Amino acid sequence: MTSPPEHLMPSAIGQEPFPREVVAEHQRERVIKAAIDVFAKRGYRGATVGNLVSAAKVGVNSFYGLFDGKEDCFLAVYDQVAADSFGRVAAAVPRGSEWSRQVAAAMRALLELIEEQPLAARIAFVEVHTAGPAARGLHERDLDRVAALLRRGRAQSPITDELPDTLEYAIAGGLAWLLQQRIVIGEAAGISKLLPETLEIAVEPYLGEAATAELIE
Amino acid sequence: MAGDRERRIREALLDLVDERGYANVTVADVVAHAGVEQAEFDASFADKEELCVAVFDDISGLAQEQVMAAFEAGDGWRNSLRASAYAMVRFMREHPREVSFGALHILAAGDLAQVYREQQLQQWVDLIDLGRQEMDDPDSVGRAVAEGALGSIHGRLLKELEKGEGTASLERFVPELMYIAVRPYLGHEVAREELAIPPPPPEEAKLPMRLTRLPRGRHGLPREFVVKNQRDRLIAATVAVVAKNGFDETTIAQICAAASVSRRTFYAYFASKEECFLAAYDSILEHLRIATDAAAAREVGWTAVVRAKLRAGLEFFAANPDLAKFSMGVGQQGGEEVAARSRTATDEALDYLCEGMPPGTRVPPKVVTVSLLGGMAALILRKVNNGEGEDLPDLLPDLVELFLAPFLGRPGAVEAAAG
Repeated sequence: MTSPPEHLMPSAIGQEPFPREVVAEHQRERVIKAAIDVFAKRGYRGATVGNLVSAAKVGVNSFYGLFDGKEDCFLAVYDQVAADSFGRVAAAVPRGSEWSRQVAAAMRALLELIEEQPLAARIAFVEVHTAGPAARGLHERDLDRVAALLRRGRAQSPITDELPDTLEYAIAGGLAWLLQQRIVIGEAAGISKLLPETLEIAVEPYLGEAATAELIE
Repeated sequence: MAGDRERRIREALLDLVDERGYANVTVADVVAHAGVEQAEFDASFADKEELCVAVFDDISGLAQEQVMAAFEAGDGWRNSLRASAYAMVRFMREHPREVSFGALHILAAGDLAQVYREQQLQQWVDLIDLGRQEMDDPDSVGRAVAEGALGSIHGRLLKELEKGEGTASLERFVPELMYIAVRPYLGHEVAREELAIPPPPPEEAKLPMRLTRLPRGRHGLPREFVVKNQRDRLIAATVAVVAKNGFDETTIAQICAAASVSRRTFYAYFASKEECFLAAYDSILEHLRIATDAAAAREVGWTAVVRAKLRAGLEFFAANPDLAKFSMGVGQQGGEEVAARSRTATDEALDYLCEGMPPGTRVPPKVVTVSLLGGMAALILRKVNNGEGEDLPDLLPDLVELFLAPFLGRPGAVEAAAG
């Protein structure tokens, strides 16, 4: 049986503990929340299970009841960060508006999110590369998700036939790479000022120079 | 077709010695690798040593041919000797496998081979010794002066090689070597002029990293020979291990095992795993640059040059996809110092691709173009990770178009991509 951490153990003998699933779910959330800090500040390599359990205030046994180990924990952390970010960005996109306006709104929301949560951004754009092949697989999966969203721009483009097939993956990969670089050199704060350039990267291939300049205005 | 079989036998020896070291190659291995019958081997060579001497003779013959052609084309002793020196370092750059065989493995190949090697060095002594004819009194010095100069030059080259900067950039030491050769005959003032003479314009260069393996155990080689070789082997092993296991999972122990060197040897060259990553990254960039420069030199016009550089780059990585895995991932996974190096390298790559851009071209913000390069790297890495590294050249039209579109607009980029 998975036990709650020492300090949550009921002191009175015979008292019923919380239902096991509730405790586990609660612990899992708490570990993930704490692990964002630990992985972002120490780096994936520098972080130990010891750091994770002490930051999350759970026992080692509880930790291993929730995750197979450090890597498994990181994958859960990344997935959580990615899901939250996609959700947050999607919520900022106005329904039914033009594709280019949607991209602009999404990009603005993403950059603001990075400013607001630099530690989570570090997980999503930097540490994901250092955490092994499974993490990189998740990162590629998310680049493909972004690429699929960008691909809708082809419907708006007068030159669809001429666009190379790899365009969207290159844009998504290029943006992720750019954000990674900025975060690494400590420029997460103020990253919103890159909005015009990131829009140029994402939208210009479809709409051309003039329409992109108008959108950026 | 006896000539063809003999050539295959010689190539097989070079391949196998390169891979395993002289001591670990048997005649049976050579026969199997060359795909010939034992009887066919016996018809041409008595044993391994005889084959070895024949191969050495081939190599030194080839080098000598280029050196002598350069010497004869020169005007006057100094110019001739200088041209020969450049011909020799060019040969070394273009034939690392052969040079390693001729300079290194040959030392393990028996007495007859030593005699051949000594003869080859004496040919250089002959060329230097001609400097006596430039003197008022040629008989005032002996041949020993030339032998001494060659010894110094030999030592100087080895010392440079020991720094492990590869055979690709040896050109820059020629002025110094010329100073050493000229000074005993013509004095310091004249010799000093050599230091100011620039190298001849570069000729087409060849790339890939052919890295050698030493015979295991005690081989009795001079330390200077071994050093350069060990460092290159460590670098090659690092790239291979990282490609297989990833940066984080790569350990110094694995690198040492793959390079067949001791841990102590590793630390003689690199203070840490990261330092070794950095050296490997620099070495890859250097070879890549040689390949792209050579391809670009044949083209006229900016878009054609961009296309040629990208093509050469894709072909370079297709020939050894491990190099792509390493260099595309090192900036994100190799540690802080190499990440900084990778950022500089990206900026340099951008400047390099923009060289020769016609005036008046619309230049997009640097953030845009640098991130484009990141996107191109992501495409290359995805292909390599999917096991399709050999097909990297298929990406050429897409990469050309992706890179040029922000500068030229879509129609111009499409046109350039079509080639």
